[in-house]
Amino acid sequence: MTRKLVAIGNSRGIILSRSMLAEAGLERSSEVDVTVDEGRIVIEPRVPSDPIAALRAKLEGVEASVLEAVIDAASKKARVTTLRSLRRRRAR
Amino acid sequence: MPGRRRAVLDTQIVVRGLARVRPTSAAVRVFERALDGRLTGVTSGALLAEVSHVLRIARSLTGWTDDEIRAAVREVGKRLIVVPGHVRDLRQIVPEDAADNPLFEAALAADAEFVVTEDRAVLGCKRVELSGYRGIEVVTPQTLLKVLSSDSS
Repeated sequence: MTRKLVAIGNSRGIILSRSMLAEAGLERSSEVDVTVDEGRIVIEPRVPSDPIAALRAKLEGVEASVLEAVIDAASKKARVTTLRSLRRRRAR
Repeated sequence: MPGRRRAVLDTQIVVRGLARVRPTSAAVRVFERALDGRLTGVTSGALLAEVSHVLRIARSLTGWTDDEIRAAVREVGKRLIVVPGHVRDLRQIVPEDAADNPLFEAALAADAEFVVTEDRAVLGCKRVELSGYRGIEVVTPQTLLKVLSSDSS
């Protein structure tokens, strides 16, 4: 696929199609690592070195009891969705 | 002493563990043991999808991004055993009240001896006898920790 660089201020950018982003597991505000490797520009999804620690780091200031209540309610809701999909799959 | 215990972790346990809401709680301690390998934690595609779903619902409170959630769930998948979670003819093996539960599907697929959960409805099953397979004990995180601690003493 050929793309033309476009001017963005003093820099240049490239338009990536939605399907291309989806295929790479990226979305609108995803962070990426960009490197130059022997004349090639490589764009990769940024993977935190410890993704679990990254989640936990954002929880400072979140009230534990509120988060627990959200987790409990959401787990029940998610289970209902799973059961529906399992039943549909078995019925096929 | 028995070999390393193998347990299916219910969604709530994984999410509580990921969020480490109360670090000393039994659910978080079970999850940590599965992460560091003292317990063989089992999950399935269906259960990981539930975990993602729950984490996404909690986003408005936590500020987690989709990328962060995806990366964390992928990490859980690396540290636990992920089974396909689809067992043919499950209804012929599992009692009727447990037949539609993704936890038992995963336990069966992974030959796990425990399902660890805080869901009262699932805990009501206590022990699921399976024709042609070993039974599955349904336990709370507290009970599983006792089992693990008696194994190591």
